[in-house]
Order: sequence, then C-alpha cells, then structure tokens
Amino acid sequence: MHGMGLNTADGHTVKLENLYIGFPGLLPVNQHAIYGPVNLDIGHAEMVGIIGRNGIGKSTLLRTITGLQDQIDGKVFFDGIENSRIAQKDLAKLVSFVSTESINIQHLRVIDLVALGRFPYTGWLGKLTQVDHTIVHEAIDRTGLKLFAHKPVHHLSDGERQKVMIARALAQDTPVIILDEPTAFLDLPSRHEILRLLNDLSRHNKKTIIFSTHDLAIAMDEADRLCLMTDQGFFDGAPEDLLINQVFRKLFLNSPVEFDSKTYAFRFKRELTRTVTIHGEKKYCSITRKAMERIGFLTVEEDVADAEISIKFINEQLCWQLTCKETNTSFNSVYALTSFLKKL
Amino acid sequence: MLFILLFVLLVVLILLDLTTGSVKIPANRIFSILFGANDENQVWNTILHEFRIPKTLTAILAGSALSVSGLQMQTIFRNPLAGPDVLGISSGASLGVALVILGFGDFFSMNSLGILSSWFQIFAAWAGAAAVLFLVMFVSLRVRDIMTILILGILFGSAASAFVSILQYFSHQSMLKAFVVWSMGSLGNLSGTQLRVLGISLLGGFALTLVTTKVLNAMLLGETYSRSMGVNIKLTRVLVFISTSILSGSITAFCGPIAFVGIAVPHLARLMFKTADHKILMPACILLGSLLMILADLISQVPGSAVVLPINSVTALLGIPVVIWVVVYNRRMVSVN
Repeated sequence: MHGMGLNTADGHTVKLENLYIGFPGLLPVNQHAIYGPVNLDIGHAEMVGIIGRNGIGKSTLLRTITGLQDQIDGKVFFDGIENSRIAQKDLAKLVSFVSTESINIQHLRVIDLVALGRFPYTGWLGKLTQVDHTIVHEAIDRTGLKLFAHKPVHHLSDGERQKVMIARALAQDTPVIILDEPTAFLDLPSRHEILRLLNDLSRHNKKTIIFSTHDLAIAMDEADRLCLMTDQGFFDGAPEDLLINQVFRKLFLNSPVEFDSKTYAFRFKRELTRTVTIHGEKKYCSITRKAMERIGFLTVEEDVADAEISIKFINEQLCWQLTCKETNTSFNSVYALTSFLKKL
Repeated sequence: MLFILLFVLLVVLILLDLTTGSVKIPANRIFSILFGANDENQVWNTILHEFRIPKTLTAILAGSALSVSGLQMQTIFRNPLAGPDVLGISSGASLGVALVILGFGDFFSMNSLGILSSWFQIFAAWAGAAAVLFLVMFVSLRVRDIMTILILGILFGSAASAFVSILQYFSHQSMLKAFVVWSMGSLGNLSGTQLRVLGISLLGGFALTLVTTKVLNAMLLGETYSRSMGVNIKLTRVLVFISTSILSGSITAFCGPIAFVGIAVPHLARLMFKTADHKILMPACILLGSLLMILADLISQVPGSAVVLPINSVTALLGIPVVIWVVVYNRRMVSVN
C-alpha cells in the first residue's frame, strides 16, 4: 500500500497471560470461567487461526481479546499495555472485529457500510474527510469489491458480504483484526478466497490477524500459526509443528471423529467388519480402497479376505473383477461394484 | 431534490388544511390573515389564530416527533415493527391521564378547573411516561441483550394498560367517556401557551436526536460491531431513550395517543430516499411525518361535511397499509440474527 491511506502497522503484538474467559454474571458469584488458562504471544503481522470444537469458547476468547466482554481472570496486553488501561475509544483504533452475524440492511450501500469503519476517527456528525474517503476506497479495492461499491449490501452473496465486513475492519485501520468464523456459511471457493485475503493482508499490510474456523485444511494452508483449544489444554504452533507433534488427535478425543494425517481433515471413524484384497494398478487400487472403506471393507494384503478384486483393462475398458464366495462377477464402474457388494 | 418536492407538497397541504373546516373562509382572506393583516371579519380572525393555525402547527410537531422517535426505536432495536410506543412510554402516559380523569375525577369536577385541568392532564401524562422511562432505563443499564429490553418494554406497557382497564372498570360513565375521548387523540385542543410548551420540550428531544445521529448509523450493524468501533452502548441507550420519551411522551401528553405514524413514516422515508443514513432519514422523517399528519387531519375533517373523525383512527388507517407492506414485501428490511 502507498500514500496517505491504510497504515502499515509496526511492532504491534498481542499477549495473553493466564487468561481465563467466560461469562461475567451480574454478581461476582455467578462468574465462571468456561476456558483457561490461555497463554499466547502473538507477534507482529502474524496470522493466527483458532481451532476447537463447538462450545469450547472460541468466540468468547475472540470477544475477550477484542474487549467486547471482560475476562474472568488473567491479562490481555496490546504492545505491553494491559487492555483494562486502554479506553474503549482507543481500543477501537487498535483492534477491529468481524462477527459471524450476517448484516442485511436494506438501502445500505457497500461503500457506506465500509465507511462506518471510520467511526472512531470522525467528528460528532460522522462526516468523512478526504483522508477518510481515500482509506474507504483503498479498503474496497483491497478486498476486490470495486465493482460492488455502490450496490446495496442485501444484493450481495454471503461471500461478498463477508468481504464487505472485512473491508469495514480495514477502514477502521487497526493493526489487529479479529474475525469470528469468517468462513462459516460460505461455499468452498469463497472459503479459500477469504483466508487467502487474510493471509495477504497479514503479509502485505502487516496486519495481525486472529480468526477462528472449522476449516482445518484451509487454515493449515494459510495460517502462520494454529491454536488448538481442547479439553486437555491449549496448544499452539505452526500447522506443521502440530502435525509433527500429533496434536490434532487431541482435538476430538473421545468422539467418533478422527484426524486423517494424509488429507489434513477430520473424518468419521469407521467400523470395518469385512476384508478385501485389491490387485491392479496403484492409482486405481487406492481409489477402490476408499470406496470399500465406505461400505465397511478393510483392505488387507493376505489372500484370506472375504472378497478379492482385480482391476484390469479389458478391450481398453477399465474393469473390476470380483471373486466372492467362489463366484466371479465383472463390473465396469465403482458404483456398480459397491452396489453389488452392499447387497451381499 | 426530493426534499424540495416534499417541502412544496407540505406547504400546499398546510394551506389546504388551513382552508378546511366547518366555517368557510375564502383562500385570499386566509392569505392576508396569515401575513399579518387584520380581517374585518373578526370571527375569521379568531378561527384562524385560535384554532386552525395552532392545530396545523400541532399536526406538524406531532407528525415529526413521532416519526423521528419511531426511526430511533427501529434502529436501536433493529426491528422494523418497533415504534415510539415499544418502550411502553405512551401506555405510561395513558396511565397517568387515566389516574387523573378516572381516579380523581370524582373529587373535583374537571370543568370547574378550566384551563388548569388540561395542564393537570399533561403533567400526569408526562409523569406516567417518565415513570415507564425510568423503569426501562433501570433495566437497560443492567441487561445486555437489547431484545430483552424490547420485550420488557412491551410488558411494562401492557401492565400500564391493565391498570388503565381496572380504572375504567370502576369509573363513572361520564369520566369514562372523557377518557375514551382523550384516548382517541386530538390535535385541536391546544392553547397558544400549551403549543409553546410543547414546542420547547420537543426542541430538547430533537436536540438529543441530533447528537445521536452518528451513533445510530453505527447501531445499524448491531451492538457487537458498534462496541468494537468504540460506541458506548449504555450511554447511547440512555440518550436515545430519553430523547424518544420526550418526543413521544410529550405528544401523547398534549394530543393523546396517536398510533402508527411512528412505525410507518420511517419506512416511507427509507423507501423514498433509498438510504439507511440517519443524517438523511432524520430530516426526511420530519418532512414526511408532518405531511402524513396534516393529511390525516384533512381526512379526519371529512371535507364537505361537519363530521370530525378521531385522529388516532385516521392515522391507524393510513399507517397500517404501510406496515402490512413492510411485513409482506420487505421482511429483509432489518434482519436480526
């Protein structure tokens, strides 16, 4: 970025020290921590993803860092200054927030919504100066919304609207941007696009970005660092460090879901009751194996399996030959093969 | 541009309103009286100065105050069906008036008090509105969720109405009629002094509105976003609630309850000006509110006959189609998750 517009922040860090989060009740007795302690030192221009099961307190953690709710115990520092010593008005110039709420207001144009981000800087009537206008336009350009600038927000898709909210946070011109599940409700390409954009903002605009997500695979591609909130504790590191240390297994412990370290995704644990052996070209074998697992067959090497499949080309046509209970059957698609086996 | 058009329309309606009434006064005479001339027909002078001009001014004040108050409520509660009375303010005012007319009516005859009795009613309405306001404020400083405040406001209003019903049940027929007539609303009962008092109190309400314009724009995004942009939510609630109570409480005190203007006009303003910006919507609501109220006054006089309909029913019949349109076609007006 250049010119008088969006600042590139320098040296802004966020530090969480023995932080306990929860819901502050009306009375001190009612206060109870739902998660803690969290210790985390987030460096300048880092992109940090928060992962954890629903209800563990991801949103609460993010809202606490943003100052939308008070911590139960422990401290939050911005550049070494404790957040309780920063006035709400000044905090709004340090941290901006993008919530999961979908904003759907009629007759509100994209450019006007983004301009609301200038709130902490404008006078009592909220009139925009030339500098404000420049920053709003840069935020719109940066998020690729130039063509939508004068459209009303309720005409946009969910993904575009999410970008509008990110543009609004950019216009707020804070060194730290916090996003609560920015990829929820989005289709797959939009999810990639949003996290790519965040990665870009952290590298090129030097924004410190903290976000929560359930999209582990995409977050592993884009985030500098992942934090795992589990019942066994708070783990953090580069996504690859977590892989090496096998931390992901802890995420859904005691649940029917397991981490597949080949696909970086979680999937349902399967009960494989029957066995099959598969022969043939390697790439077709692994595809067929995936289909077999779906219908409850464990692929084994030995010849003692319940069924045997050999994959070969017959008249240049791919063919699955099944030997099962001493009968031979031939299929020309995986679908035909699995349909047959399911009936057995 | 649209503002100028509406302003011209407003002036035309004002003149039309001044010429309408049971006594026919030629338009050219009305003009000359308006511009300070003293007509040789003293009755016409009196009719214009004592009745028609105050009534038209009251209509303008009532329409603009209720519409601005409705706009504030719709934004702060993020609910398209919110109006000036969602906080229970008008019900509180009604309770105050009911206590005066029905509760103490037995002890002294209203007529013997003369002009004093109408002041007594006004202060009772203000006191009732203020009592509900303080209840709502007390809650809103302790409750985080704005929806809870909305529900409690409606419940406070219902409780006040329940008390009114009890008072009605135990009161004499003549008092009952006096109260029912009050509850139908009226623009024409204000003396010059009362009009001045109403004008000055509304000025306070409008001044507060001006201060909250910027914050209300931020509040479009809801309280989470507003807080994250540095808005002091509690202070905002206090300012908006006080301003709305002054605006709608005073109108209820001086004119009786006037329904649906406050809900319908903000929607008309958004529709016509195609914006969500309160810097434009506020003046738009003032113009459109005045327009609608004068139109309602014209209709209530049933041009060409001596019949006068209760203003509250006319505004309801004008406002309800707008609200139906909002509910049926514009459900995405403001979405709350």
